[in-house]
Amino acid sequence: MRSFILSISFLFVYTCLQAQSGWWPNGTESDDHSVYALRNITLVQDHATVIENGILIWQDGMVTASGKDLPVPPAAVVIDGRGAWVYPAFMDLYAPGAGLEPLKMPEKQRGGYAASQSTARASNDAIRADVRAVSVFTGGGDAMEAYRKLGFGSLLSFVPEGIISGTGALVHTGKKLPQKSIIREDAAMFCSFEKPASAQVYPSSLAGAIALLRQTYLDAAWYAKYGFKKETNLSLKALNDHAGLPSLIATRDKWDVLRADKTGDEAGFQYVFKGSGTEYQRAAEMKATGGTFILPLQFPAAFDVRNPELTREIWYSQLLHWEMAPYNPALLHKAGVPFCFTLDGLKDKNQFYAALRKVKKCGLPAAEILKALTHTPAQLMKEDRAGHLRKGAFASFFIFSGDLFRENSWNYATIVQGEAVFMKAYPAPDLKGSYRIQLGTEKTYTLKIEGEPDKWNLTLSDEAGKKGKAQAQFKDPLLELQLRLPEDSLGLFLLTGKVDAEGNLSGLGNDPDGTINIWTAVKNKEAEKEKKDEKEKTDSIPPVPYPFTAFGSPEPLPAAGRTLIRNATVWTNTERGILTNTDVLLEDGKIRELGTNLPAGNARVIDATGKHLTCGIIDEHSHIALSRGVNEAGANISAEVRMSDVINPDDINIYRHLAGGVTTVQQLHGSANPIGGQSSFIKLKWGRTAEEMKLAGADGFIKFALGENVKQSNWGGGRYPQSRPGVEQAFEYWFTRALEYEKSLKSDPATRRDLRLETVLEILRGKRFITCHSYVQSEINMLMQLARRYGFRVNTFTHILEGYKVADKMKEHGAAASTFADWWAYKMEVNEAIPYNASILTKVGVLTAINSDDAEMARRLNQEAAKLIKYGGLSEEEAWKTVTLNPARMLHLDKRLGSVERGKDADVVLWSANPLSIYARVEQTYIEGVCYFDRSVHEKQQEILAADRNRIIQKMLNDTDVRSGKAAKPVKQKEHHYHCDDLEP
Amino acid sequence: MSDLKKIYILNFLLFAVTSVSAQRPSPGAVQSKPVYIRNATIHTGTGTVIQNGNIVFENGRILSLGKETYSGDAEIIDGTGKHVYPGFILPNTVLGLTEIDAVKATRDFDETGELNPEARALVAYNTDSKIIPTVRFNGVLLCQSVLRGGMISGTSSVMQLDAWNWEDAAVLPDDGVHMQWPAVMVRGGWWAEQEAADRNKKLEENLQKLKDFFRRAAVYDTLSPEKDFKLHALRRIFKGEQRLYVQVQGAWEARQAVLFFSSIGVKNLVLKAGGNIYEAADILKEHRVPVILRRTHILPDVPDDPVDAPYSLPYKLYKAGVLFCLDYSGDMEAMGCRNLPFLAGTAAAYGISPEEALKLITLNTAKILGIDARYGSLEPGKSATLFISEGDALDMKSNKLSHAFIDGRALQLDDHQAELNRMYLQKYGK
Repeated sequence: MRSFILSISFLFVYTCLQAQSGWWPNGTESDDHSVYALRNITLVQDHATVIENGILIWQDGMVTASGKDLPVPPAAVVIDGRGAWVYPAFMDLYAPGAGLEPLKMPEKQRGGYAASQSTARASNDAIRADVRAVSVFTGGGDAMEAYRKLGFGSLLSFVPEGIISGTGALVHTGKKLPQKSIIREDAAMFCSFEKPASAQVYPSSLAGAIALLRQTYLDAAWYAKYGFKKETNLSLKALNDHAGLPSLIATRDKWDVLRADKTGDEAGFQYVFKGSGTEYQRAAEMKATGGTFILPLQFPAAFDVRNPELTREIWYSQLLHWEMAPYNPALLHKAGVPFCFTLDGLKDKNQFYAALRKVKKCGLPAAEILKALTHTPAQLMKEDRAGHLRKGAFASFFIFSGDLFRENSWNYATIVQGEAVFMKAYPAPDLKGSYRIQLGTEKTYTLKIEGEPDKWNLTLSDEAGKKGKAQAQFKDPLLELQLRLPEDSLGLFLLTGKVDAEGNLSGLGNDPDGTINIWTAVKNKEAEKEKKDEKEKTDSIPPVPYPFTAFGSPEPLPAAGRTLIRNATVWTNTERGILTNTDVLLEDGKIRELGTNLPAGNARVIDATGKHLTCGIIDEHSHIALSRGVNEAGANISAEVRMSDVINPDDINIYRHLAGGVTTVQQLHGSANPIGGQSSFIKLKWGRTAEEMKLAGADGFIKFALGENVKQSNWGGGRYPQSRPGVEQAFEYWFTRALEYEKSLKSDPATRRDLRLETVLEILRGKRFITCHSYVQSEINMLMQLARRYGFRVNTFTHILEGYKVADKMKEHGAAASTFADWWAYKMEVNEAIPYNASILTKVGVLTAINSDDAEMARRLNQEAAKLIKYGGLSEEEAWKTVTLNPARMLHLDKRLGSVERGKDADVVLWSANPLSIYARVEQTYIEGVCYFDRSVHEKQQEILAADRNRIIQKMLNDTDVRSGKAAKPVKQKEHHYHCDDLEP
Repeated sequence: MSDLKKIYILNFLLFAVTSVSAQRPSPGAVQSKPVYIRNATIHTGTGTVIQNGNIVFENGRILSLGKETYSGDAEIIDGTGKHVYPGFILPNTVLGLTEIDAVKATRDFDETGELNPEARALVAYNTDSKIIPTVRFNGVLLCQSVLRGGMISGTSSVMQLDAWNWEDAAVLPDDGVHMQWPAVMVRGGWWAEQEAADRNKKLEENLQKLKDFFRRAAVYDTLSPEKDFKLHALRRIFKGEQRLYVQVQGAWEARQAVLFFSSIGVKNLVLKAGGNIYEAADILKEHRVPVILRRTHILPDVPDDPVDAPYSLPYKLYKAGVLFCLDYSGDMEAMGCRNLPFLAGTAAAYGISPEEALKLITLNTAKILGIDARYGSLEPGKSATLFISEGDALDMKSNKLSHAFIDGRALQLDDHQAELNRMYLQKYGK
């Protein structure tokens, strides 16, 4: 097994012999032009080709031949590698900062709202496309050492700072001079959604980062065609110069992948995704992107789950992810998603092989694992010299003591460009087991070895069970044993020996009387074998719930079909009013019919006797189901930001809203800016993706805001505006710019497309509608007057707590009001807010809605509507419309939503009582005919959830970290490697 | 002149009169004449309802209650079709201690420092708060005014909501000390992006600090040469004259707190809790520790909780046999606390009978605060602190007060919000 060791050591040629044309050596050194032949090896020629008794021949850093039964060139240095496995060196395409000079970034500062570049770069500091990793590549540093040690021969190193962080260099991991180590100077463009350390605040949110990327790609196209004539912009120039390179984008979760993919599609290219390990949660969608993934090998740590009352704080999604994360590669492979692996993110790099073995145990075949580390990255880089060991390849490989997927095999040496850059002495072998030891005579004893390598505990006993004494030490490459036989308390047997491939021990030994004998210790295979069989089994893959959280379901969602709801009290929101004992037929997502004794046909029939049926509640003002920020607070105007870019379909609030009868929400940007971001409309289709939830065909809306929040009254700030007069001027300024932009577009084809101005222009031209956060009457008047001056209408004032003071003016303007029932006194500008606001507005004739702006209150919007009966005496039907038909109308969705009538969307809610009563509970919620919430199902789900939580917790209790008390205390996920054997009891 | 017009003019005059005082309705005068409410549905607060019942009160106390009629000279109120309730009690609130949440100058409930048992809510309680009348409007007539912040926040007082100044308002001055027990887990994120909890990194340190402080307080000698303000402030706790109100995150902290305080001889312990507190029911019952349940109109603690976990929490605690009541603590609590009745309504929607739910904001609260000898239920001899509602007062759509009394004094149920309503309806001719 170890016969190759001595003969191969000389490959450790220290890399002082680097010569380069034009360099004059100090002494008399020459380059190494010898031919090397490594033979008698198991040659993994590529991920799919394993050659027994193979031979690998190389010269000058390149493979010249490899295979079986090849003639060894006469002048070759021949190395016998008997027993070793030789693999093509691995590639890592995501190596942030590896071998690079440390980066100096500007200190993070607050308050930079304008462009701050002092050089000819993009106006935003986060766009750093002109940064070239190759210009700071030295090949030094500890990081490179880790790659070499683990068999990586090449990697893609980049500067990890920026939303566009510049080009990465494809380099060898070897120890040659940088001049000899670079494979490709600019090999890929790196991107992320993460703002770098920068003096600029923008973008402060994920939505802002996406908007910036989108604008930047447009800018680059403009620069290529017109811009370069007008200005020099190194970032845009670099983007264009490297347009043909792959673009790699780092993602934090599976939804980021879809967000990135959409951004890439818009700009006309395909990203490569640096994954997060959560991709398996949406494997089909990952496949549909058409992209290749670079997957991390870090799996979540076990939690300390020994205190049940604290375990409650651990979410099911965390527990399940702990269990399922190692299946990520296997599940993606099953879905047909191509991927590579990266070392990035693995906290303890020494766990790399253990992680690969874990991935194999979880169902990804060994060849696929190797492919992800060789062939796939090489293809992605279009580099046919890497990723295999056929003729013409880089002589970059590593030599393993055996099959790397077997426990206790180890990397003996890594060779890069023909030079050994890493070698490891033979580690103490794992000798755990039971042996039959024979010491020259007929008599045999049982030798039991326990404990970690080189810290063994030995027990020697005879057949009668009488015990002797024994100890052992590892003296590389041999083993020393000292035995005292049970029957002989006087002398010691002194043995030396080796371990063979079968795990048996043998050697020569001195008896107590000085005679030398051969000894053997044969491992008891029976126990071993059983254990091995168990290990070879791959685990079955648990089902994935959609969404990946509590109350998700692994079952596919049902089709709309036909549902007949019988004998309900139906709140139609039409001139028909409230109908008792009425049947409602839902068909193919629409309300087909209302009537009595409707024929059921093949419909699913629901008895709603004693129950009330309404259309779904529409929340005009929501911030649920959004990722990483609802405010882009880095600019006072952020019209280019789109909430539809950051929908989070996993948000449990979606399901909670369904349980409160809410079916549609307007996802609004926050109120930090006079002009915020563009709204998104979603139906709360729990379990579906963002794209599936979006309400197709809805008009475009945008958030405006006035008052204390935009002038930053209640926290520090320094951003313009700081007063209400400033707010007006901020609008005027951007309205004016937008009109100038419109003119420029018409007259000058070289006008740069500006998504911010384009959006503002849509407002001015009546193509996009405003929902304006507002409180006091002065600012409400201001905006209406300004709108009149610019020729558009303010669609909706939201919050509008002093709307009652200007209700007549709002009516005249045609503005709608979306308000709270009884909120006030939380800040100065709501000191004159009154709970009669909505009823006064209604009485004056302003279209009025009640909204939530709060994930909790949204679940009780029916109750908030009911307060209008108490305060102001609206009728029940009037009150009910404020959370259904009225918001539908102000959102221009009333053709489809807001009432129970023929032809409208089958978004209906079944209530246990009058929906305006505190005693009413939602029994069922349908969207487009599909039941997304059912109270009785929810009760069953709770039992299933409890059982599955318990199952995983029991499994986790067996985790070695939990047993030893080293596991992460509940709960925040602390990433750390999940051991291969952790599941074994 | 038609009757309708007369009413209009009458109303107009009434408005004209009240609008002078509506910014802050003047407190009601001491009861001078018996009041006789006839033929009403009387919710006693003890779990019973008297249909078509009569109630008489005199000199601020309930004289009789039931089916018997009253023939003495009295102001008569026809209660036909109406509902009578004991005044609702709001425990654990900053009502009266804050006016506008975002304006620091109006906030008086959070002293600097970690240990402030000696700070008294009483002296900052603002009877002239514009918020108070809006709360009475929905039937809340008593509150426990409480300080917040730090580990030990300060001393609370029970107040009635219709007074010229805090001395007049005090029902039970300095009734207890309020504090926070350190949570093992700290939850992160906000409602739009909830994050999993993380271990409280200062847990051990803070627990030790707190325990040391209380162990010293338990043996504090008033004869020590120098008065220790903070230890001194806890003397009445250890004498059993004051309650100790301890905020806990969940069942685990509840167990820790109950065991610790019983071990050092705290007699009147009350927990302020939510979440999974019912899981500690055994120890709460064993040590007779009641609970003030924090606002139940909140999101579940974790995504794995049932969607309506907070709504059905009262039922779980009720079934477990723990004495408890409801508060409205949390975000924007002063302005929102007028919704206290609807928390009881929600408890009724999720498993508890309406009359038992009513106890959660009346008699149970009075018992827990130690004012049940006078308040919390309609019983002969008790204070005439009650109101009349047009309909079910636990349901927002029918909670409409026509009369309210504190200690027999008739309240003006007007407030500045109702006044602004009238003003603008008039402007628009509606």
